[in-house]
Amino acid sequence: MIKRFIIYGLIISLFLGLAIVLYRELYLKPQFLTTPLENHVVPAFKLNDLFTSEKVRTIQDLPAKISVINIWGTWCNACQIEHPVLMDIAAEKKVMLYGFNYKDDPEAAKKWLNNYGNPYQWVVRINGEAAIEWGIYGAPETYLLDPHHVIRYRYVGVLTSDVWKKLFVPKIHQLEAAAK
Amino acid sequence: MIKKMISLFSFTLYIIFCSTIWAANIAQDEYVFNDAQQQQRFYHLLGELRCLVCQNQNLADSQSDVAQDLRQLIYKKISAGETDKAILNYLQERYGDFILYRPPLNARTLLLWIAPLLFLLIGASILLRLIRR
Repeated sequence: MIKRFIIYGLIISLFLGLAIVLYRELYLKPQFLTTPLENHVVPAFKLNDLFTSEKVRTIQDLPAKISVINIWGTWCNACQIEHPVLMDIAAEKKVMLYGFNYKDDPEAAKKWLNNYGNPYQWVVRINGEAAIEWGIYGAPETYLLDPHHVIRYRYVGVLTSDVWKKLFVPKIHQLEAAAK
Repeated sequence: MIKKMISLFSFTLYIIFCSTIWAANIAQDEYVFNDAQQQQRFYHLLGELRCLVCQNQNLADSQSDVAQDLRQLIYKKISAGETDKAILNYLQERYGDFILYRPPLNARTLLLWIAPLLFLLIGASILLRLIRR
């Protein structure tokens, strides 16, 4: 009798366990990857400036401050949605934004920034191969760097003001507190 | 019963048939190698790697932009004489375990790896019990 109880208990708990795991799985979004480069210094880069293409930007062009790198392209519809949010962040002047124009036509990119405003301190062009070095796999993506150029966070998808407030701002406060 | 088995069998055949079509999907002459072994390694690696955009496709099937870039990079690295392990490591360091279709055995994936064995043991013990009765 007790034995039977144990067996049924085991089977039911196995079923429940599987059910819970699979139910959770329904709402996971594995396509939004966290980056293994988190807590690593950014990869070395040598990328040409969008506006003055003979100028090469490297890690030296990132000041020793908390900064945000945004991956975007004019071909990316979601980037259009997040652009006003980037403009707001730039207007606050708390952190500096830098743009990686990903697999794009430079003329279209310049036109875009002239039309919608330029939230970035500087913008460089990045091709597919250089982007792999960063683990980039689409646009938009947004990286948060600490003053030592260590990647502290990477967000994949549209940067809404909600995402900014809930995910980025607390991390920025933490970094600021740590720097003091 | 037999009808059911036949339909299951034909379904399996259909799946196998489809997968061969997928594997043949990318243009063969797009990538030229020095020797057949390199070419074989190239296609083997593409099958081992997940396209990050389209999720349930491997790099050989996917026509997404990123998959094309990754194919190009793997082609370059193989032609430059890099080993499979070095290439897989390089990609894993940048995209995580997610890019590998074969998850590595570590603390996080231990349950995943031993689960089949666990289920087999449970099934076998139930079966044994039933037979003994």
